Amino acid sequence: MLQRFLGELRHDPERADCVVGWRTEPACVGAFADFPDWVHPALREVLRRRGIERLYSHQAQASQAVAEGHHVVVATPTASGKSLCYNLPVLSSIMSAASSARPTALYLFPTKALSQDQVSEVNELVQALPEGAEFSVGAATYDGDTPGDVRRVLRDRGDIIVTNPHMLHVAILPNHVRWGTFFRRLRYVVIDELHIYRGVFGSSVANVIRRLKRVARHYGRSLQFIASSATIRDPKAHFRRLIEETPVCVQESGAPRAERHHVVYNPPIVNAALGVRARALDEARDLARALLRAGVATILFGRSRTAVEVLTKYLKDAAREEGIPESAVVGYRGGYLPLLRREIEHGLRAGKIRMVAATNALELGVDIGSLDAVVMVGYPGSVASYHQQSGRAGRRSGQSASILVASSLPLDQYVAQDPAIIWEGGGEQGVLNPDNLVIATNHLKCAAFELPFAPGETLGEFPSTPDVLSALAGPGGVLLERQGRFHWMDETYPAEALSLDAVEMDNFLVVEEKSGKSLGHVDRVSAMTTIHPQAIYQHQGTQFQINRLDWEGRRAYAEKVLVDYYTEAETGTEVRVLSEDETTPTEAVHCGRGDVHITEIATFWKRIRFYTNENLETGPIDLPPEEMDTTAAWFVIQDSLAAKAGLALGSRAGAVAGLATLLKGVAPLFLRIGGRDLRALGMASHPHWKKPVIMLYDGVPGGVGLAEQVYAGREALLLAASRALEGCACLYGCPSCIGLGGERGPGSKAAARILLEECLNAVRPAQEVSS
Amino acid sequence: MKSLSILERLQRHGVGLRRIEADRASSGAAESIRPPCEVNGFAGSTSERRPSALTPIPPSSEELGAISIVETVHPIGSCHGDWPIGPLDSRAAAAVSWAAREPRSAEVIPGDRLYIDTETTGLHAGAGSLVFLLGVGRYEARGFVVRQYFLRDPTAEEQYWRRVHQDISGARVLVSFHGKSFDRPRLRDRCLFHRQDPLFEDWPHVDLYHASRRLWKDSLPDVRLQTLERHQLGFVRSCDLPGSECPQAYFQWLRGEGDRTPEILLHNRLDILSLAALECKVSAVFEAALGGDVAWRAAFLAWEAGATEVAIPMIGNLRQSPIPAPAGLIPKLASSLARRQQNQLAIAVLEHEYAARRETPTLWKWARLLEQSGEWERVFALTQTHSLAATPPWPARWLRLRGRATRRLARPQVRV
Repeated sequence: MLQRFLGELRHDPERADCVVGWRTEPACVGAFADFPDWVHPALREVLRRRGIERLYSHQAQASQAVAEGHHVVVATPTASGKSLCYNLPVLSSIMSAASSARPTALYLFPTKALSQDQVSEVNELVQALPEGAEFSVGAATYDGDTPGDVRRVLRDRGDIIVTNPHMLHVAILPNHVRWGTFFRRLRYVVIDELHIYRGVFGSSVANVIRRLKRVARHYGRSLQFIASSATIRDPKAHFRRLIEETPVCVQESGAPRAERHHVVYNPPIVNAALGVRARALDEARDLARALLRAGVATILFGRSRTAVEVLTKYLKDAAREEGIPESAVVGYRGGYLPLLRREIEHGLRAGKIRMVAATNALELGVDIGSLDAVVMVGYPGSVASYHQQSGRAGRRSGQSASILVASSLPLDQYVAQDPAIIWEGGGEQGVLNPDNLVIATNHLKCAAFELPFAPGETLGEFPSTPDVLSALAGPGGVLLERQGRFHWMDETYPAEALSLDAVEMDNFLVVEEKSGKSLGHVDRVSAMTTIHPQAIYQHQGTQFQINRLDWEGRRAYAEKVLVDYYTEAETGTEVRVLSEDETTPTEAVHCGRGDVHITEIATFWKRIRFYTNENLETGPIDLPPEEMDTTAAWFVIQDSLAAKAGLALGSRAGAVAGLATLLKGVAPLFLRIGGRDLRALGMASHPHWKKPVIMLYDGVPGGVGLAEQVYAGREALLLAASRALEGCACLYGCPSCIGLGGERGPGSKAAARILLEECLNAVRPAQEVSS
Repeated sequence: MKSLSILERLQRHGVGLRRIEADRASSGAAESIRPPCEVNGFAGSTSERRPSALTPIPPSSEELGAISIVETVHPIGSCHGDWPIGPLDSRAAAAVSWAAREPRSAEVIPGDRLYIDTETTGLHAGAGSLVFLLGVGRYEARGFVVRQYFLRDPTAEEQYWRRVHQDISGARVLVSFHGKSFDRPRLRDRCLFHRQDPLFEDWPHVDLYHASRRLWKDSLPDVRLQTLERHQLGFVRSCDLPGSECPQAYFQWLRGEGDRTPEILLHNRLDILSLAALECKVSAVFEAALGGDVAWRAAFLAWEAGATEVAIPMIGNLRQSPIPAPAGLIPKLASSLARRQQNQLAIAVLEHEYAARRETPTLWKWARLLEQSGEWERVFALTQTHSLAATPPWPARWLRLRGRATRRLARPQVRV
């Protein structure tokens, strides 16, 4: 079935131009190895009874390295049996130890659902062991839902504690005194889904691990870290940054694998002059429909919740026309209530659901059974995410395919021009920065709360530790210095106020007004664009209109409607400059960075008709603005350059906003942090300088130092933007470079080219001088 | 190009470098509102008349190093507010044990009791929250001796706890206010942090917060120590540093930014004196002479603790007084009395309660108890003279009960 579909795709003359990349990973039979000698015989027997007579080569290699005392990272494809790589040595060493010297293990999973999966997996193994006290191993989850009396038992008697980084950060480390029994025996720390630990979250967790190592040292322990990751470019380097130890890396999978096809599909150009391509969503819908007809179990990944809901509706329509039950097609995204999600996961495993449209909520290792094909609507933003999503197909056997439908965003077009980037590991550089001053300082406070800093001690490898300690011990500060030691001297509990991912926890509940039924959650930042009054809230392909939004009460009241449109909201942003920290002035352009205050407001909504994408109607949105202080980097265009580029002409002024979009678009190729964290703004005249300005600012309140990185790496960024602009075939600007010529103005692309060139000239000598 | 120091960069990012000051403009302003306090020289001499006198922290000595110990002696019988402090006799200790629901605390001699209160650098648990002042009161031959262990230097904490361990040997019962949920876990954490045995572990623990709550929760706006002092001990703090300001005052002292340590010590010492006085007050509530609805609570606690010989006369007196019991207490007491074969007393308190509140469930319980005791004539009389609420299921129940009583009374008496 899949084969026929792929054959058609390969030979369809209409689509020949669209298939811009095709790579086939051949099937392989797998490599096996015997159980190592140290595996406890009882455990070996249990595995044998489950049909595991021998190990895959990578399982043997990884668990042997663990047994030899190395830090280990296992980065093999999805469903290659990675959890055995750590469960085998951990369980064996607990079972083989004398009861007084039993080691303990800490398992870190990014979500509660994954923790629960893991605990059941370990406990199934443990319960199958023969009766006998010396074998009994206790594994349990420790999270926000664990009752108080159970917590006490776990602290004193748990062998394997399965938790998440947040609990470690806010509950376990600050209270390590109560966990003394556990810490005195702690030996293994298992970190699953390593690739998740990137960006702000990864940088924070790296600091939590610095704190964990410090506390373990207090109890006389040095820890052994074991990580597993499905897809990551340089797992060894990444893990090294996270744990600040050098690991052994196991990447060669011994698991048998079926044939897999990777296709990159660039939608056709529908307007050559404007460089407009067909919408990725529409192209993906057509591909999915063909897959549905061919009976191929498929998962579609959309980039936004709206995209997923629109797709779900389209596919349900398609199923009806094809005579397939509508219930075989579902949507799956964050914000669905847990019960519905569990039902969907079950339906997928049972094979009742044949097609699912999902956000990256399904990207993580929730076990959903086997699917044959993956369609990605737009490049998921990073090489790691790409592999994670494509790994959702072909988990067991048979042929599988993953099809990336490029959108018109600059990053997608960059990938479509050169698909080898995703296959040959040309992706992002180091994706976490534990030394980010803001993040590390906040964790330094938590660390000082946990244990005083001894003279000369640093927080892991954080180089500014002494300076920050001194700063914090200044007049009225939170630390006290005595004989070179730094003690926490404050009434607060620093971990409490510190979030690991800096994501607002403040959610809105969407309620069906008539029945009072809860439909789902929306986070506060998305509220003003998705659940404003008059908005169409889409849920499982059904449209609800928001009638009333109770901003204070954090509730939106919805009513089911039958309409042929959905809504999108436009936003407006104001930037006030608070300080200019650094400036590199040249005649043409002043580059700089500093602190800014951002005010973002939703201005109006648009009704967009399904299928035709017509804009039917618009109306105002009247909601409170979102405000934050953050950091920014900017390029202030001086008068001479503005004149040279002809920005005074109305038809060319759009170049400024266009360039901002382009710079933001290519930034994820270089930056250590995911693209959504960075925002861009181009203004023909900013009130602070009264000149045109291109600004990139940090999307996290308070900033996490992204602007500094943009400022420092401005040459590479401008160079990539320049490549993208030159490589784009459009004449007057298109969504793949500076935005539609029609919106930006016909002369904008030419003006943008001049601006970029001059900016590059301005940046280069400055950096030569400084180096 | 201007380069920024770490400090400036942190400030720009809005990273909190400073302590959050308590919600007042400045400590100076708050101090000026308080009446001036007389500062006493060294502890002990005149504490009889001024138990609240300010004592400065003595300079550090070679023997103690980074710890200061401030000792004050308060003669037995000296008043704290309206209440004299003094060791409990066995009867009083028993009474306190009933209120505290800590039977093991009744069996010890007075010198075994330690009255403790801590000052900490934060209200939450966690490794970074220090105990910087532990006050320990104890009855000795020379009077009630309050010893306050002050941590001059956080780096010397380990030595500090070793010293405390040495000094408290011999005692066996702990008296505190909120100590079960606050002081003791905090002390435990600090000792474990320094790998020492936890202090006071497994000691009988009289937490006067819980005892006071059981007795006075109906009659006081809240059960904070200062409220109890005002209403139960007649003691009003005139120049006291509020407990919430103690951490900041300690931080300032450590940094040499001001010395309010005498006030911290005073605050802590007053808390301990209040413990001693409050304990006396709690025990007095169980004396029959004391009336009020608190006596009902006391009687109930004594009964629950199994002190029948005290409880029964108390209940007997109370049911003849016009004082109503606190709401909700009588049904519990009556059930408990009936369970332990005190049906007549149970019936009596229900009658008393019904007279005071006239609530249908009480009347029903009263009638049912009469029925279960075979007092058919009284049941019948009751059903004739009273009626339950008019809403279902009460009328039907009442009619059925009256029917049963009528039938019983119509039966010929069995001759013995």
